[in-house]
Amino acid sequence: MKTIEKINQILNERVLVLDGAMGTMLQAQGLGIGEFPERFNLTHPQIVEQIHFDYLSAGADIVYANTFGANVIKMPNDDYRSMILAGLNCARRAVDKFGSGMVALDIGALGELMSPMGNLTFDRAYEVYRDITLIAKNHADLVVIETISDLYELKAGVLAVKENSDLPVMVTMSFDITGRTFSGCPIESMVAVMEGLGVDAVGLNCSLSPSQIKPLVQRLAKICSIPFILKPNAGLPVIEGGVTIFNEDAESFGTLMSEYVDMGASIVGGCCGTTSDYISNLASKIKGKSVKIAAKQVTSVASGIKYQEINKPLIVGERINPTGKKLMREAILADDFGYIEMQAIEQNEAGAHILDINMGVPNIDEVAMMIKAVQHVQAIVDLPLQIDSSNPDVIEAGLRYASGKVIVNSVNGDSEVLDKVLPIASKYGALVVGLTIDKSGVPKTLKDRIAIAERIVAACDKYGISRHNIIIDCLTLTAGAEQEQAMLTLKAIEYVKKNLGVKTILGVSNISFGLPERAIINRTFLTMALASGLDLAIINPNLAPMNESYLAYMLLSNNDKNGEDYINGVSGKVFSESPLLNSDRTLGECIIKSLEVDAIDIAKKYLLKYTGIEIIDMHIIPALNIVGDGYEKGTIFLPQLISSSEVAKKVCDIIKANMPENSVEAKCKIMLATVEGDVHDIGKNIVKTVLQNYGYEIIDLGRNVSVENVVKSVIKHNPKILGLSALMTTTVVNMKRTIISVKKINKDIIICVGGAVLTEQVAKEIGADYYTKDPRELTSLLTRIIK
Amino acid sequence: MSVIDYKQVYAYIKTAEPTAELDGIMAEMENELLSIATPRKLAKVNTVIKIDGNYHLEGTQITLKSEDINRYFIGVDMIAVQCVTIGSLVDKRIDYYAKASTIRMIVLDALANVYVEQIADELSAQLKAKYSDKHMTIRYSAGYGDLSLDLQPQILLHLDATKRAGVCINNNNLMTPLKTITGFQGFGSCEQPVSFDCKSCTLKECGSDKCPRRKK
Repeated sequence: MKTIEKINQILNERVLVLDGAMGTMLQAQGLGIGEFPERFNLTHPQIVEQIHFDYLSAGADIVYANTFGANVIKMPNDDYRSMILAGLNCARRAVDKFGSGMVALDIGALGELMSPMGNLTFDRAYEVYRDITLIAKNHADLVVIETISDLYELKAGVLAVKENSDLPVMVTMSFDITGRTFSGCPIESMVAVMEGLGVDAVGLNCSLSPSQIKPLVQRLAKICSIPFILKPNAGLPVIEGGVTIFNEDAESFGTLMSEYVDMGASIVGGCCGTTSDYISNLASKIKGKSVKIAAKQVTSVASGIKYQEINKPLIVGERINPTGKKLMREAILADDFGYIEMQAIEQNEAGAHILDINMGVPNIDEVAMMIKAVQHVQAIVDLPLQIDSSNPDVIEAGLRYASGKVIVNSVNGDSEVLDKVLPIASKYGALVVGLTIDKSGVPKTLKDRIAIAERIVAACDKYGISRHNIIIDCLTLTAGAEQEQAMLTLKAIEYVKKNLGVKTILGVSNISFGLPERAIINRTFLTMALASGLDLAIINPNLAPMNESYLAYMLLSNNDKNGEDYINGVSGKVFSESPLLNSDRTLGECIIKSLEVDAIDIAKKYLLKYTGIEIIDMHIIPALNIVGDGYEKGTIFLPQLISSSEVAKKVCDIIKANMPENSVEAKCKIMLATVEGDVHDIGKNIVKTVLQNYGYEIIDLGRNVSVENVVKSVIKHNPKILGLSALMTTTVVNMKRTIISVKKINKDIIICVGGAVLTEQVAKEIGADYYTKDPRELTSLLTRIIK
Repeated sequence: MSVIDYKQVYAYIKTAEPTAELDGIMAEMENELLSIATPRKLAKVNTVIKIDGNYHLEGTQITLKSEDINRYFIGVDMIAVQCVTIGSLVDKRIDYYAKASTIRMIVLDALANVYVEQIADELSAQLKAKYSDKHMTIRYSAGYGDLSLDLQPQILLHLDATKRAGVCINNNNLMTPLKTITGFQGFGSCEQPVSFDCKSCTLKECGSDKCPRRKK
């Protein structure tokens, strides 16, 4: 009998019991502090085997092999392979000796933070999990991935196991009492993503005691439609004489866990501090209890940090899409992810709930661009994503590299498209947008549109995509050309919601194409669609009329309780109408005093009289110099320097938008980077803000930039100046390596360095051309040397 | 009433006279920080012996080879190894503001620095209360003075900090989340020095009159 059949057979009859802690038991047997527990598999296999045997005797159905930390990252010298095999052998011998039980390959967090906060990339995490899986797959009955903090790492792990073995997979993450992991993942995001990926059970382990997890058990019971696991610690840790002990005894542990079984937990065991006594107590308390899975499936999207149920109308931000957007198209062609990130930030601030990402520019590697765009956007904002493409390869790339549960935009009624895209959506557990269109075009009758929607739903059924993951787009046609179709679209929304049990989505603004005053038509149609039951509105949330109509609808439909969102949204607008405006002020004064609204208003008036270059040279630069001089003298402080710079930047953006193309030439190209190994980049970011306002073109490579990457970028962009930053003494050596390598390929480049541990002397020693202590000193230096 | 000590924050961003606008941003960022921070405090107290003139924590691999430690920890018989962090969401939000608003980035970063210090101070106060019969030293971190940063991996392993607090370390011994502090604090029967001197500091261009640590 296959393991999954065994597990299901047990779950049909009763609750499944897991083992307790391994480390706690090994410490009692002499494992030293700071020693790898997995080494005991080689040095003391009989002890490890006995611990497994004790757990089986106590009532455990599954024992976790002592392989938790054995991986190439924690043990680069290759010992981990033999430790994994020896660990599995210990568990297998115990099972054979006891006569029943299952052996789980136990994989813990890899021990590095995921990129971009840490160094571990998704691909590297996948490789490491795959490596462990391949070593173990013929020796284990199932795989558990546990004590994970980052959902992105867990996703890499689950894909690695599922794509490289047929073993069942169970996963647990470690949460605090608020229901979030260290990296901010809410319990609901974990469930949404893991259910979508098809794991066999999901839940929590470690970190908390049984007395703390009740609210989390309630949350799991509410949303889990697969068996859920509880494997908490034996109480709260208390340090006594340098040793960690836990404060809950076996009796109360078992009693509380038994209550949670009544609430819906299907698989239970213990983590740190628990012993075979705890498992024995637990097993006897839950004896004869059956499994209760009561949760219904809900429609939701999620990122690694944000969970969003689709139970009220939401906004999908449409700006990260090159169609009809010149600047976005240029950004995609130039690999300018800074622009794409800014679009994500602006939509986030404007109230978008989901971000659509479309990288569809001809003659580019759209798969590679989609991966990069997804990674850049999810690194900077927490919103769930919608992957927008008609190319199945691009869709798969987006789904694979997104950390959360995402939406595929889109399929249509064409069976060829459905057969290509739906298996991908099913594999990654994505929601699917189905357009009511097929090879014959957009149907002109309600009946035909509904027929296509039904065809899409039937195809989803075939590929195991349930109704709660289907979203139908009834299509917005241009009212200027096909006026009668507008009401037909709304009727279709009403029908599919009521009769097919799916959600609906609509790109709204096409309704007004070709008509004057498009905003009036768009906002009215949006309100009508929302009233017809629209769930997801694809709009530009930065456009005030659309946003206001949405907020008003949410208030009137009683979705926005007490009108809080409406009031906040509208108050923001009133504030932006410049209560401070004083017509006597000059642009320079406004910049110096950081009066953004006034500065923008005055700049717009100046544009009627002066050229953009004149405004920059005569007003903005002199004002920034006054602020800079004040900073140097200590009469103006860093926050004021930065506030003024930010106001100047906003004014410059407006001026540039009003100037003919190519009329503003940057002074020169400056490349900035925080060196390899160093993750502190606040100083570098301040320098960037200030330099941009002095008209320099900045290429920011970010932080922890490898020597190789700096060299490649210097070759590609040929900057005149390279600015390198380091905060730690340990990374100054990497700064020196970077300087030597860059000078080898470009001896004329000017290298300036800065950072808390540097001095003029150190800068000379490592081969830099200049050292400056702050951004003001750097701007003065640049003015001098560039002349 | 703010949770985080604004005076310390203003010292970090070297601002003597905050404007009303800056105060507003400070309050906004403090709210945001407190809503996303996930403070974790870990500590283990070990007895120590001297080996070759250096303190060694019994039952561990940790030896503090440092003249500075010997200067600041006088005749101690126990040393607490500590780690506090306020979580990686704070780093992510600072990154967000690096793109969205530089002034907010600066303020949030400074608030986070002060907040993590406050959490570390809370932990020290708890330890002090627990060992109230002894004199407690100042908190001293790897990387200060001559105490090598190479101790960081051992500290994290000793406290099981990756599993228990989500703290990881890179090849250059830099910890993530960035707003994380590790340190040692000794307990002994004699009076201990109560402040640092500049010899232990690695900041090369310090405006000493504005040093928040000295002022504190």
